[in-house]
Amino acid sequence: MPSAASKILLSAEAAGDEGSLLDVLDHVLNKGVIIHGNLIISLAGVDLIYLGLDAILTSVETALQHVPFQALPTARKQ
Amino acid sequence: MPALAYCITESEGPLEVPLTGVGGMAVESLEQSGLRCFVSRNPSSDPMLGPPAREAALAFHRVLQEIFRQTAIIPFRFPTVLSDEAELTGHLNEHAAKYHEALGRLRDMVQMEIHLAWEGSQQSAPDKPTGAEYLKARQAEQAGLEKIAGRFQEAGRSWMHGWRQQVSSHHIRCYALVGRGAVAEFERALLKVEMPSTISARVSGPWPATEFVSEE
Repeated sequence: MPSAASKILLSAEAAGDEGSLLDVLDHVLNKGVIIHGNLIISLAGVDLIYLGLDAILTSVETALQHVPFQALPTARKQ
Repeated sequence: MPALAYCITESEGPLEVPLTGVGGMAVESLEQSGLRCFVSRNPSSDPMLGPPAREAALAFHRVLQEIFRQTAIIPFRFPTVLSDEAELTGHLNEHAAKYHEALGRLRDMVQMEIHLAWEGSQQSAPDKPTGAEYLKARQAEQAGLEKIAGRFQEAGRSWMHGWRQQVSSHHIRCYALVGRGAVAEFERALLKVEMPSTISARVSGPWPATEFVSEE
């Protein structure tokens, strides 16, 4: 049986809640242009991993969930 | 010098741009091939210095929102860090035609999103389903979600210039391309959609029309 329209939540109603925050983070991390390229991930001057940029973006997204921003390794073009 | 890229816009017209972005870095614009790209140049040459991840991502979002409030943008994913300006200008040169076309087409458009999901499992599903029962239940779930997505599409049709759907396990994300001035009417129309008690809907936006940058 159909229920009332209360099952539909508008983002304005949810402003400031965890859902809105997740929406924002989902957008900045998952939507938008990816520049294709090859990178070497370095840490403390040591080249650690060679990856395509698509892969590194995925990796950074995951990393962002678990580590502070400043703790991420630097990346430079090969 | 490395640069954190925020977004691309058409180069015509003045824009009010936030003075600072991620990590308090200055937001600067760079013009190339008739496009304007917003970046933060990092004088320390270490593109990953900055505040904790969530605050950095939110600061990035605030820059995008402030520019998007005034014009169509094509955002970069956070964190897109280029090793130098030449890499960015090379990218803009290479893709200028595609970006011009998209920014022109999406100039007065925004993206509204509808996230449909099952609330818990269906009551009719057995406790320990066989493989066939599981697949049948999944099919029924997906069909139920697609039916509701169709209702939303129909409800918003008068204000929509495009519609896309992305099906994942247990949920569907719908993307509607809506005129900037029609967001309130679009939302009002969606609120009239009849929903079963087993499915929830979350409407968010307006967002930059990233799902419609490509015409495919």
